[in-house]
Amino acid sequence: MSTTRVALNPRPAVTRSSRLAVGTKRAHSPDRHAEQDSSAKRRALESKISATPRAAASDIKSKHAERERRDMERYKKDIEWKSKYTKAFPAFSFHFDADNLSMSKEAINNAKADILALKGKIEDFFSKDITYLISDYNAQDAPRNKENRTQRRLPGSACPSPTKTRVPEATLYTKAVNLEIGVWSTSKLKVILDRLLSDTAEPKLPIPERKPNLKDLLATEKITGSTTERDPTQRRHDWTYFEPDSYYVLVEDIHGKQATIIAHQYTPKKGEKEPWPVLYCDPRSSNPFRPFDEKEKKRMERVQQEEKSKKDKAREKVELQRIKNVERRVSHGHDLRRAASVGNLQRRLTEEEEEELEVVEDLGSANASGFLASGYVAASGNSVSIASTHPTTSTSGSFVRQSSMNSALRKQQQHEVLTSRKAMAPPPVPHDLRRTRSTNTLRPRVTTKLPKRDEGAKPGYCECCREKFSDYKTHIKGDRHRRFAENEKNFRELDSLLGEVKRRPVEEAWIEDQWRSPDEPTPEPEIIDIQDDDEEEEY
Amino acid sequence: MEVDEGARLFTDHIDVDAEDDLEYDESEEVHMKNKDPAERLEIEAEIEDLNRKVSQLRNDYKLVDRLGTGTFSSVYKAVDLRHHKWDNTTWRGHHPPESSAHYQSAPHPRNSTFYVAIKRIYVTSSPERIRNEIAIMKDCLGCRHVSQLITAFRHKDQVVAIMPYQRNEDFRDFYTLLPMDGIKAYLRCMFRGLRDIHARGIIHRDVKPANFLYDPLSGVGTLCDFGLASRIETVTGSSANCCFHTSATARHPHGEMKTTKTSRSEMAKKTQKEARARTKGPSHLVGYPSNDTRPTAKANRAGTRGFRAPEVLLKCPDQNGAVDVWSVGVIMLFFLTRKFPLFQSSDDTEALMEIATILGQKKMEEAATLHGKLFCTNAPSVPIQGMSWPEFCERLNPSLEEPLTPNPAWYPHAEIPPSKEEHLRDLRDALDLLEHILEPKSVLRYTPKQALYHRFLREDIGDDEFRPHLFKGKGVCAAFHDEDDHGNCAVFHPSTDQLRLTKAGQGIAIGNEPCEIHQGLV
Repeated sequence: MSTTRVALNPRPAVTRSSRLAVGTKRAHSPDRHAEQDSSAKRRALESKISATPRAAASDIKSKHAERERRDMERYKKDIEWKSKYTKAFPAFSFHFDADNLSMSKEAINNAKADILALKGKIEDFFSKDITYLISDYNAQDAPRNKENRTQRRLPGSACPSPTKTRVPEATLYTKAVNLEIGVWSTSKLKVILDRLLSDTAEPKLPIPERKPNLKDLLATEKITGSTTERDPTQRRHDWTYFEPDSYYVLVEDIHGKQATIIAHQYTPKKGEKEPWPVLYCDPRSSNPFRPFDEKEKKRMERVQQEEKSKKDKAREKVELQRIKNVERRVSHGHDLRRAASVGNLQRRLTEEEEEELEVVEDLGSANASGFLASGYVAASGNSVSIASTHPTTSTSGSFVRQSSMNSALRKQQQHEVLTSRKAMAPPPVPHDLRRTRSTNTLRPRVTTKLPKRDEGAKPGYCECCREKFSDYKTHIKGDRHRRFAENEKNFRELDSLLGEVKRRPVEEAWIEDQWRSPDEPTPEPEIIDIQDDDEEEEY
Repeated sequence: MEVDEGARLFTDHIDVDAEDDLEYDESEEVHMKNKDPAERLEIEAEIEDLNRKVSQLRNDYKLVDRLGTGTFSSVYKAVDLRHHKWDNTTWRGHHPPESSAHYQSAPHPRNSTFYVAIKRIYVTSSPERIRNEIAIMKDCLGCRHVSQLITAFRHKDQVVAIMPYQRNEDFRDFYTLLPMDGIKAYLRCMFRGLRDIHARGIIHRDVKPANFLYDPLSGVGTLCDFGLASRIETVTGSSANCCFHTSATARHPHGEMKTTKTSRSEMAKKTQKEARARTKGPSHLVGYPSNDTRPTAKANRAGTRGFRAPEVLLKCPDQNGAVDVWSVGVIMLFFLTRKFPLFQSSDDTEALMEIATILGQKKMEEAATLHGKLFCTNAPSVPIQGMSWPEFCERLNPSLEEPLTPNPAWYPHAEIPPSKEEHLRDLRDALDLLEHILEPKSVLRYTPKQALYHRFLREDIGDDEFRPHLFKGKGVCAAFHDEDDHGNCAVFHPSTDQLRLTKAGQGIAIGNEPCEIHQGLV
């Protein structure tokens, strides 16, 4: 729609004028507009004429013309008025007479925002340089007599608070008058602002001859926001545009007052995945934004395995717990030591199983559950015999591991030897895999990693020194940071809070938490020494 | 400030129930044995280093293990050596036995080891940031399912905070296996925690599985890590006018839509229409100022990618508890889709687009307008009308309608799966709640209280019965509670003229009961 309009009308100024009428249905040039409109009206009128006497018809016609003329007049006036004020506004500076405002705080704030939007200034202090004083001080009732002004209150203001009965409020108005500074009431200000910021209703029938004043129109455009009321087909030299046929996301402030929030252009590359998020929602993929491809297929198979063994593991745990309880019952009162060791054993077994399972999963072994079953049978059937062996770091010894696992483990270790570059690092034991997985959550879990905190320098930002550092450990030992750390002043507020969260010894709390009469002094917490270092008899 | 991988607490496989009768050093041995020698050495070195730097620690706590490391801190497990020497009532609170938060209040048996979590805040954090975190934790004393501050102290630049240790399992180990009852328990704990902290004007801002320690065995969950938490502020000045919603109020914790028409709102409507038309047009006519001199939109965006609410991504300056509720919604998606993580965006733009591909342009536009923003995209993967969250779950999880086999070891220890009808009813309720907590318009998003009273989570005894009131809140004895401008608190005796100065965490009335001090007096 908009592009054809431009083709029809080469004059941008005229185009702009039509753009002013955002609310109207048609968006054509005034000329075409007029033609169409009048022909439609003519048709309407003609149908009326057929039913009414000729005189009346001409009367209607002339009335119509009269109204059109008046509308246009008003429209023109409004545009002129707006233009005048808009041009003048940046030169205006306002001071709000805070003691004499009858408008709500919110409305005042809105008005202030509007003034700023119109590029007017707001002065916090009254001076001779302000253009307008905004005050609802009632001029008629204002005391002319300077001697009286401190005594008399505004008749209109209800029940003045004693704190507000101060001298300067009345003087601000008089001062303004004396300095020939204009005074606007809040209601006047609102009317002016609303009118300036509202859209001028386009007259129903614009006069065809009317030549819009480009200057006025530009001014109007300025008021109504440069990004919104423009002809979208006109590119601006100081703007960045997305490339033709590109895809983008743009997030902007609706009021046009804040800088663009997001402006991102996607550049799709041939043969590559779309650069924007695509919702595949494939239940087989790990993630709704991933298509189900070969990679995902492999992943799914691994996960299914995992899930299965997880379920089995959970079931095993329950089973073990039951056995544990039985053992406990059996041994109750007879052999506590044994009961405890069985408990320990079972815990250990459970843990071992978990570790083993992780290995199975990580290496994609096909028979995780099969392994588990055998492990479980062993554990339940021979619980006493295994009680004596409990190496948790070696790969042999416990016959739980003498299963198909061993090859997997060997592979694992070989893998480790090949990939590990750290000479210091001892060969990993299978059970660290579980931890590895926890720290390395987003990546596939095949790799065994050393804790990442050991991996050389840790860069970051120090909020105390307000500087970036390349290595945490070096930075916090550095002079600058140490100076900050040693300076108690930096921690004063923190310390005062820490004082409030001190742990209280029971005796101290007992004394403090007593009812007392209001004049009784509260006991000093220092009465009791908290730091009795050698009191460790409990252990 | 952004955390992409917050402190992940390792799964702990050691039960410390008194039954086991373990010496603490033995359990420590078992635990540490689970780690590979290199890591063990590293942890030992860290513990040694911390003990050296904060000498006060050694007297009262014996560090036994590292629970996790994060961007701003490391957390260690320790034995509270002199547990019974201290007054533990202030941080335990007085949650009655019927409350799900009773675990926080139940005194610890004398003959067993009490474990604590010690948070070592990295010394590169500013004292002010640390103060903020500790102040917030102090204000959260008495909140249910929230990690309670036992104490905190400082040596030079090193600050440590002590909290009770909470047994928990890695989210990955249970989220696909947790049946509806377990999900309910998880969410109830979560929403109770959020209800209580939001009532105190606090937003967590980093709600995610790693920061919610859940133990499937007991069905107990605890919200932890307040390192990014902030206070809900009423926004004033020019940014107050940018959104078409109000700030949070007691009546409307997620704010309210501004209904009055102003020249501003009328203009916004028009701008919106134009933007929509522009988006339909050719891309080379869509642009933005090259050298933008306008002020940049400022908004708190602390949190973790994938968990940020639309209003955070859209830079709403006036955020409230609704941001936490959205994050819970994302967790609920993990349960229902049985996928984790779901969102893979690397930045806010992509995050917004990922949500847009699901919800569609229209809903995104509406959400953006609420915060005074325009959202325009012509990306082919963003539909005009998106799908609902239930539809999203159904598409991602075809077996959604099949009840999971319960694990009897897990809370609530059911032996047999629910009937199909029961499950379908639960599912329908769950999906309904999901729509309300993943509502893109923050003002319409359910509050934690609404969620707790929703069909899916509602219990016979309403949550109001167990909510801990603010010290000077709506408790039955509130008339006898007083606080001065400096935050000093006191309670008055109802019949004598006596008073008691109180510490943070004391004098918290629960439900319709008076606070522990006014028990039997009011």
